[in-house]
Amino acid sequence: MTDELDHIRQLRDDRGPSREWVHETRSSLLEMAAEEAASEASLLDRLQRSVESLAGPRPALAAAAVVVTVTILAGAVFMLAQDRSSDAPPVATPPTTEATPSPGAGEGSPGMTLAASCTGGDGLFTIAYPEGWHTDDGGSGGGCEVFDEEPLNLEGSVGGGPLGAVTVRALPVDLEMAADPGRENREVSSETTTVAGRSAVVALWESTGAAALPEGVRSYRYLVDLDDRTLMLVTYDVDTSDFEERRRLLDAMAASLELDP
Amino acid sequence: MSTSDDGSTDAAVIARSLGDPHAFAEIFDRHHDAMWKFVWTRVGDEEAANDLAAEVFRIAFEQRHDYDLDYDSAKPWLFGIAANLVRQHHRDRARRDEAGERIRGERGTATAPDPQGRLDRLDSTPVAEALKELPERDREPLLLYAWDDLAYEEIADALDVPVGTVRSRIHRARKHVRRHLDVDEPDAASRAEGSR
Repeated sequence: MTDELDHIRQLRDDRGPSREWVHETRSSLLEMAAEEAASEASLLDRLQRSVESLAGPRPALAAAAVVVTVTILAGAVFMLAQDRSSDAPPVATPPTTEATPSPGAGEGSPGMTLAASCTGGDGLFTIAYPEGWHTDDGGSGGGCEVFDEEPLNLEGSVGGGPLGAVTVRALPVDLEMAADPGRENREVSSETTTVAGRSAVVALWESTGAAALPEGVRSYRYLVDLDDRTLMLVTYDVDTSDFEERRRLLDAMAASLELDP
Repeated sequence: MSTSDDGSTDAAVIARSLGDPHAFAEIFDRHHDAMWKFVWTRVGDEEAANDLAAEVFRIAFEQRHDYDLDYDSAKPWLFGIAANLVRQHHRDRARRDEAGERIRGERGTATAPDPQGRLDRLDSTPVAEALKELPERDREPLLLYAWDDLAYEEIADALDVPVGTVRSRIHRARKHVRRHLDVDEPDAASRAEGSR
């Protein structure tokens, strides 16, 4: 027995998506997930672990101590910044010219030499980093992607996403999409530049609090156009007492970047 | 309701994905086929269907922080995103067509229609003609019900209208189709009546 619904259902096209589409779209989602895990979820995890390690067996008292400590430290950092303001360089602004080594380049800060180099992204890029720093592939198996002055312990990070002082990773989206801060971030500044002969955007973003990151966390990133992909170099204003130094380091690392032709 | 072997609902998976973004792949695994078919039947162009269906999941991933975890099934949410994208696609295409018409008109060349959705590619049958005649606001709930197997409540959520409105629109649309069958296929119509 049929009714009009059966007639309509007979017109249904049961053609499904191709296997290639399923594979590619799923892979893109996982790449987005990896990117988010690396930049945000792991950050929270580390912050959480830092608090827990300080909290010990008396969480309420220790948490209060953490708040007081952080407040005092913030005040100290602020006062130190005031003291140094006269001879400190102005807040670093994104370069508007090609990020190539110049006198002083190759040094992220006084005493920091980019003497080591490694290859990452499955041979996609070679990049210099500070001597004595540690690198990890961030679980990608594609070579160095995460850099930090401390040994990287990625075992316990949330979502498998590592986080070091600097992350360099190929994103499976074009530059336009990669340079969109979305609702999770607001753009503080953004300029076009050239890195390793490729068009690039160098941007300073600040988290809005709409996603996993708390509001106000700054990130400084280079986004290098690789046609249908984008190479991202990023550092966050966490786990560092001197974000401007980190930015100068990232400038120097970007200047050293070489892409596999 | 969509659940996995371990019984977790879509809402539970999305909640988990807030801490572990990779978990969102489970939502894709559960719903990619339905989303692709939905888009494909509305745009009728494989390349556009691929792009739009992928966009559904990209948007869903980015907006999952706003997902109302009281809803166990993510289907209405995903269909809602897909329906908006399809509408935007048709609007963009109409604008392109309009601009193309102007250019072609100035050049005096013939126009060629773009690929249409499944309905426009169907052979002329009473049911197809009846569906084509329906206004979109009545047709879409009916197709979500008949082609995409959504329940009334899920259609209401996807289209953001009250469930009573969904009921009346589907009732009206079915009546319209039945009337066509009545005229063109009296046997089928009488069978349909007999099944009431």
